Amino acid sequence: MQTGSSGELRSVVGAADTRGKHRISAELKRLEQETRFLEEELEQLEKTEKASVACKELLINIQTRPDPLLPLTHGPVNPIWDRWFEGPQDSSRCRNAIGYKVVRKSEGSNVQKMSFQQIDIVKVSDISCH
Amino acid sequence: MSVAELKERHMAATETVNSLRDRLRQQRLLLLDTDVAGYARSQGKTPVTFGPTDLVCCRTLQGHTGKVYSLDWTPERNRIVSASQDGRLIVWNALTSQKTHAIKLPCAWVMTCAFSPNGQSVACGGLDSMCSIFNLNTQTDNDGNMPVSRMLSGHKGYVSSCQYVPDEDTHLITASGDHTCVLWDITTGLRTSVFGGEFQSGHTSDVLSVSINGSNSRMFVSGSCDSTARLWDTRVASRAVRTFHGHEGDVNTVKFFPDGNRFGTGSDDGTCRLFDIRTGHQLQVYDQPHGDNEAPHVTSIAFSISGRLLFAGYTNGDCYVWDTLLAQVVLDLGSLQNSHDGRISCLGLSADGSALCTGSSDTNLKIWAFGGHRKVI
Repeated sequence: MQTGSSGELRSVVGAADTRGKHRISAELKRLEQETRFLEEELEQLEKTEKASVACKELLINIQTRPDPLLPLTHGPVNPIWDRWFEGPQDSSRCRNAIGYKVVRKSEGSNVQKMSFQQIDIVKVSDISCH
Repeated sequence: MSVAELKERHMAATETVNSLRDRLRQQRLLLLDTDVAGYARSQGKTPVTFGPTDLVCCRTLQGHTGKVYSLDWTPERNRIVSASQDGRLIVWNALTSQKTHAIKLPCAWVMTCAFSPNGQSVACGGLDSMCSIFNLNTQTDNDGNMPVSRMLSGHKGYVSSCQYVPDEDTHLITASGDHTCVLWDITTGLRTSVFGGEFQSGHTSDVLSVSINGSNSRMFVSGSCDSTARLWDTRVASRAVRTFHGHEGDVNTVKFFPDGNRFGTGSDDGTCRLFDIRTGHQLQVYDQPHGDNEAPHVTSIAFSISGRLLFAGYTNGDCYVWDTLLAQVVLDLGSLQNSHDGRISCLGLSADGSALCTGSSDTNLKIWAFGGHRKVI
């Protein structure tokens, strides 16, 4: 038994087929079981709602849940969502409007410059906040 | 009954099944009065619009020396486990980019990994046909070897996908090249249930992906090379609750929708689809030309926490952000600055929905978050 791309079954039983009786019998049982399942599904389908009902529910569900990745979202907003753009807790920091973050370590003059657009964390000296 | 008679009955049964499937297809078409995009447009909805620096790559996790095949976040916010062609699992703190564990696997051919709900264990599986569990509180030696705390053996084919049952550190579900999914009891190492397989109704080809319903952990979906997705109830292993047809190629990835009543799929046919579990309807097809001659395959998908966005990774390196409601691509992470240099093989959303992690054949993982100005309704 083989399944084509459309899901259709093609019987591969041919005149020259030498498969054993038991195997064909087992496959037949599977097909008969599948027939029963499909008949059940057809019956259920008569009582099934149209797709628009599910679409309406989907729309409501999507629109009422706060989503940190959306530019426009329902609240409440959680400040923790922005932790990806925060520096270490013990450093003073400032934020550039176009997305650069400059973090100055409190214990020395080394500064880490962390840019959203760049992969590397680069140590430079004495970069002042924008 | 003679073999000849059996063969005749077999052919007749095949015809009956085909004809029933045709009737089902046609009956379903009559019930598809709209799709999600048609309905959303009728309600006046407009697509999500992103500014150029809204969704940005804010971390690149470097450390693997081979393609990244799989990743999973912890339920608590910031840790990720990743599995790679280099034969290692790495556990990352995504916020600090630090690696907390680098585990050299006994079998290098790993395909999937998962974090336990309590964040203390990781599971992985691959071509060894086994699922191995590691307790992260155990030390690795200098080479990165860590003793396996449990081996789950029993599959007769590769383990393609695994996921812990939400809130249950002792149970996980695997998907396999042996055409089955299995629910395991980790404490005993035994199979609690086998879904499909030789003597039961189930997938007729390799199972590539599994996703457990976050709202009802007794339900899970599986995606297979037989082009179908199937919905299972863990209490009923003998048959799938429902089989979802529509795709015209391997279903590589399945993911439950956040509301638990729908799930998404991604396939070798280049499309993603959204199915409704209660009615069985295919609610939406997400299909867009990529500018290539042949449509690239979808390797992995994830929904944003509201479900409004569908992230889809493709074999050509694209990572489309679909507006789920309007069925439009609103962004391609693959074209942004600082994006991956290779195909995206896996995707995952953090537990609070604030970040997306992508894993790639370029050996890196990247974290994407919203860095723009957020407007609240």
